[in-house]
Amino acid sequence: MQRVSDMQLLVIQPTPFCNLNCTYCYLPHRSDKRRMSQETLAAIGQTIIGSSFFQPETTIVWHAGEPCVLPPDWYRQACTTLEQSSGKRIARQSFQTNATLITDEWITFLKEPGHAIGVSLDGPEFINDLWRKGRSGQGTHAQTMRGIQRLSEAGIPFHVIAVVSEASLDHPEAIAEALTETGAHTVCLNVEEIEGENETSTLLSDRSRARYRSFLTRFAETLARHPTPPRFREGEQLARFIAAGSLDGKTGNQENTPGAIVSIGVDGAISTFSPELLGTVSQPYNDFVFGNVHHLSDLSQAYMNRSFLRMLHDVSAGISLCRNSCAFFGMCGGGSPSNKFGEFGRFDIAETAHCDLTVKTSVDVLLERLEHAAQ
Amino acid sequence: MKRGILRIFAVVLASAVSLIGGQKAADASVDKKVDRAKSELQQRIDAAQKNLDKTTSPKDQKKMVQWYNWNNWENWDNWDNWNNW
Repeated sequence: MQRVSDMQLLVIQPTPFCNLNCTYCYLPHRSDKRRMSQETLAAIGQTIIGSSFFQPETTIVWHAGEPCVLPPDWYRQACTTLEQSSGKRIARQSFQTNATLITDEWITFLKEPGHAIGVSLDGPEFINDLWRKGRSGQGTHAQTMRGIQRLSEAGIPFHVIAVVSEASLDHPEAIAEALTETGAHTVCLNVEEIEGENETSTLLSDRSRARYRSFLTRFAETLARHPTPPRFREGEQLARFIAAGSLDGKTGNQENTPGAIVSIGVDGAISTFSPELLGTVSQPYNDFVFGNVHHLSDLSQAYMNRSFLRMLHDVSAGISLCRNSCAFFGMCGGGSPSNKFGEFGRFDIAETAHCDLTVKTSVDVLLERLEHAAQ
Repeated sequence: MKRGILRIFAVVLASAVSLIGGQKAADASVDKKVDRAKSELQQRIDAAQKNLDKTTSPKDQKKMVQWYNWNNWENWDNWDNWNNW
């Protein structure tokens, strides 16, 4: 049974717009230049942050568009509005950015306490620029590296997330070295996913699993050889699981636990489960919109919405199927709803191509490394 | 007060719906192959845990477990967790 959780992440879409146009992007409205109004921010403060589900530890993530297309002063004002309307303090804010728009003003802002930043970069230029393109189709590696240089010079810690696509698989060493050279404290790998507007993945061939396995092995080896390697998210996740030690403990994950992640669209639309679902079209689930901050007085009301309850029912069925059919259930807690929906158009199913790569293959490779290290 | 009552009602309603959804699939029996695979995986995890004991202090291991058990709000201090997605 999935219980409605206190909020761990509040994802707010300040604007759907992104100055880039990456080939694999899942966001359907990334040309839409609207920005969230002060009225919507005030309503978020009252309905969402003012609710008992928002905790002092809850992190606000500004995402689902490029956050840096809006100036830092917009976020300062937004934060003031959220705090005044909710009566609560916003302690933690995160920004996931392509880093192409990092200015001196952003550097000053990011140095303020409670701010964290992650940069999206897929590796060296010849890999990154295959997919991560500007509005005119040009590569964006040089612009992103300029932003990274500014962050490094200012001593601002950041992590990098690299999307792994078919073109990446033959170049694990080059990608590991490029990500390490950024000076990021942590590197993270996301495999190209089928979700939202990205309706296919280059990692669906019969050979993908073996190739991804080889990629990950060589990637981890390259990181380990570095004199001062960055932290590796996938490896750390596994180590934490091993420290916890049992396959019988876990019954969910952030993405399939209702309420753990709450996402708010630019117009105030409320969603939960995987943030990528907000903006995805689905008639039975009302496009994954379970209310609007302008119409509800408390987040609890969204959890009584008919479309939400329908989704929760189906997600729970999928989790039960995972529990009964997969040895890895104790590690992932039943998969990601956005990947299940992206690949099958439904939630009451078990294994996806995404979990085959990111859970089964990754655990196998990284566990093997730990086993060998023990000998 | 009103918010507290709303919360209780919403959580109970959602739990019931989740239970009904999960029950449908839970009725199917667990495949013996899955049990075997799970047992093999647990053995590998146990072996890896011994290695962790050699390289990581009990204090750091405790922190790792706290990070892992993200449902436990009293211990939850996970600044990085959002980049899971």
